[in-house]
Amino acid sequence: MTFVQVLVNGVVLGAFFALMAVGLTLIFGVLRVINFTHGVMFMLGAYGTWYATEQGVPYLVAVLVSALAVAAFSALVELLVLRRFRGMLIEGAVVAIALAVLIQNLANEVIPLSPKSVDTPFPGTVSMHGVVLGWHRIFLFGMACVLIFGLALFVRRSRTGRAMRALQQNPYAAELQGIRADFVAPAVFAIGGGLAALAGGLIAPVQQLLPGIGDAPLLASFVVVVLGGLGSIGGTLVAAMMIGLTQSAATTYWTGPAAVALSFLLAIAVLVVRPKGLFGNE
Amino acid sequence: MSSSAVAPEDLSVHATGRTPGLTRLLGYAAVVAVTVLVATVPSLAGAYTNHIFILAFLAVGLAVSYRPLLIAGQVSLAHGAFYAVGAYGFAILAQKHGVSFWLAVPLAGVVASVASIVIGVPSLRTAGAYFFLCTFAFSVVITSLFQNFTSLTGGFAGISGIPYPPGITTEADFFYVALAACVVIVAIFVVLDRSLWGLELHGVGASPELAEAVGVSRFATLLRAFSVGAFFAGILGSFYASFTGFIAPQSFDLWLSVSILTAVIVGGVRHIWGGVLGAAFVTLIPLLFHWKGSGDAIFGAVCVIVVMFVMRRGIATELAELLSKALHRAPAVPAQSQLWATAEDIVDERDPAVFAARPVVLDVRDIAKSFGGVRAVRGVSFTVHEGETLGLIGPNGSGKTTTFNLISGFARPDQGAVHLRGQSISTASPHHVVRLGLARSFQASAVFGHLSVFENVLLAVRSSQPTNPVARMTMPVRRRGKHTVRAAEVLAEVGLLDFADTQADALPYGHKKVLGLAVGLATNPAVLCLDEPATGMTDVEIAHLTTVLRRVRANHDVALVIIEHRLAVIRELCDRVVALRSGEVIAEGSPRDVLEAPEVMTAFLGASAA
Repeated sequence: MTFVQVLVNGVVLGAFFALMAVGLTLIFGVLRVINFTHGVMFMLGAYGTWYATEQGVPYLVAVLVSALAVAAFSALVELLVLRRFRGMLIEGAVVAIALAVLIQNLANEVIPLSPKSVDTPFPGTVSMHGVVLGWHRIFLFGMACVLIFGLALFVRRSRTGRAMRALQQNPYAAELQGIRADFVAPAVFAIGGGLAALAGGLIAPVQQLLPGIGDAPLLASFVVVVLGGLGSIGGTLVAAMMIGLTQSAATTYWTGPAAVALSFLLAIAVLVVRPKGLFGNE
Repeated sequence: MSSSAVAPEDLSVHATGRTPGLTRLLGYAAVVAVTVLVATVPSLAGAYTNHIFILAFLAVGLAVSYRPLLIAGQVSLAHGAFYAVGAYGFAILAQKHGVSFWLAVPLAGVVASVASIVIGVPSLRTAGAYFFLCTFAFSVVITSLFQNFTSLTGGFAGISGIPYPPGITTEADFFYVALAACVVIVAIFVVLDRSLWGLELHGVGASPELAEAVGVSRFATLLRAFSVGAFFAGILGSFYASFTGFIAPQSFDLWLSVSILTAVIVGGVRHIWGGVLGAAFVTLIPLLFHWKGSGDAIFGAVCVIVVMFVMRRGIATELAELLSKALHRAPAVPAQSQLWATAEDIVDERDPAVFAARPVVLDVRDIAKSFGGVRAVRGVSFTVHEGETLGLIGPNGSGKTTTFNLISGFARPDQGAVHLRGQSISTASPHHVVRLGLARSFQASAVFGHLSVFENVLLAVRSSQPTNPVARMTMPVRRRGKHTVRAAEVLAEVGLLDFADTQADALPYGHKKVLGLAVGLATNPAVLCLDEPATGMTDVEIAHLTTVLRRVRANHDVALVIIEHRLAVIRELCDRVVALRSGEVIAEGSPRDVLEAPEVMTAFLGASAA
């Protein structure tokens, strides 16, 4: 495999990690919650897409509908449970872990345990100068770019986005300005969960669906988020590309399992030099 | 009301710790009863129950050995990895190289401990979520090592035929080995919990800065928690390997570390019994229902969520609070208006000339510090003589607190030097500076929130003095002795002795600030730097603070450096005043001269007032 191919694969993988991680960093940045349910939201998005396409719904509609449903569910999780633990970082994380275990195991009772796959409306591959890339991956990359750019724009420009940034910088001062964390929190969870579900739906056609599908992306996005500096969207992008490229290179030139370990080792090395991540300033 | 004239015998009443004899005796009896009850399990229950109980003993050990790091406020996801390292170390030694069981077990602990130091030294530079990630990444890397380092670990096939302890043949016998290991490890951590080191962990968890300021090295304390915990995790891992006879990478997934964390949080971090309860709770749930498939996991997760909803700070923490309320043993909380010192007038006619003639104790020479483009301090010099009280005044942003940070080791000057009794301290860390004799308080009323008033001061008394490492971790810190008496004396001196058992967080604002002063004083400093000790206080509170400060300098040969905006306090207490503006000294001299100097008036009130 050529070096350019490794590079291209790494960038596409990085875009996927970024899409997954950006919701996690948003939730942590604004609400100080380590959201361990992010992986199951991804899983639900993927299986929702699968289920809808099985019912004859077109793929793109299926992705959108399942993402919206998961977004609503994610907001509900915040409203009913995680809200009680705001400001309690460790306790909140433990409850989120328990929720993830609960949702995963309940899902296991419903979803088929045999591998499933989803058809893409963009089949085939494109080949240029010896670099081969599936059309669906190109679509995935494009969607990731659009969604992350859209999120950045939303956070920067919209009224709700400004409220989120205010809460991130100083929750107390934000409340004094009339911004209610209680109103903003479900929205943040809806966006975060929705993005994870979109990532799941978008990856479904190029990956076999198994119940534990959400674990690996959850772990990878944790590494990306912390490496980038908690709460920083720009840092998340850079870190996602770093991890994506490292894994792509290690998988090609070495072995698959070593790729994950190597990228994590890289994360430790970066944190030793920059104890608060690449772009972190907290 | 208390005054400084309290006899030492009275003081030591407060120094015996909180648990009265009868309650403690009942506690021990309960522990023995539970242990005996548990010991009957093999003869009464089936093999399945037996099996689960053995795993529960190991889980209890993991929970109590993990807890110290959590007390200090750091969440690690590596404890399961150290357990795995211990298991592999034991298996390789005992099964492949025929090392005897009782030698291989401690060696496995050492291997895990070494691993923890390798990862701990770099990763403890970070904190919070970043530390969490480092330990998590380490777990993944270690798992990958187990999978791929086939010549040593057997790869995915793992290692089998790992021996039982000598003389143990059945699982029912192993039950007692595991129970004994569990009891011994819990006992060891009970001792550690009551030691000075245990108190220091609570201090670091409550406020890392204040802990450093009273002489606790955050890094050393955390690394010790990490490596001691890993040692016992490694030992428990070798029992696990011996028990199952077979280990492979999939025996130790990431959920192991997560479930240890869950156990301690559900049980409650504050008391060691929380870890025991939590681990028992989490591991024994399957036993209750013995469901098929995901039933156990679902029920376990629901239990965790429900418990956390009802008792957000964990079972043991909340139960202990209910109990102390039921027994009406809630400690006294001072009313906002209640005065904390008898207002005996301290006659202290001070002649500034006396101090000017005494040797210089603190010499600050041309120090400067910039943050990005902001030059916060630009070449400040002043000296402090023994026993003198120096005021440091200036408008907001004039560099007063930065100067304190530079003196006390919390920031390093870009240029210049600070000497304490002739010794350079400009590059020393805060916990080192305080041991050399310079203590400081913080602007925001910084105290160790969840420790009692007495523990706050005791921690400062102990940590500022050198202690040998073994005594630090084994001797009960609250046992009556010269240190507890000294802590009580300090509290009496500032008038807080009546609230010795009160949790520091429960104190009203003014009392908290005085406790901050007491904590600094307890380090027995030659120079005590107070950052806005009177700010936010009422006039009555300020009158008492000045009395306390007069008493302090009458009783001790301590130089005070006071930052304060309440100029009345400066005028009343200080022998000499240094005024700062924009990071530079603009005036120095007697309080009257400095406060009336035109430059100072301009700086404080604006140009029109000059």
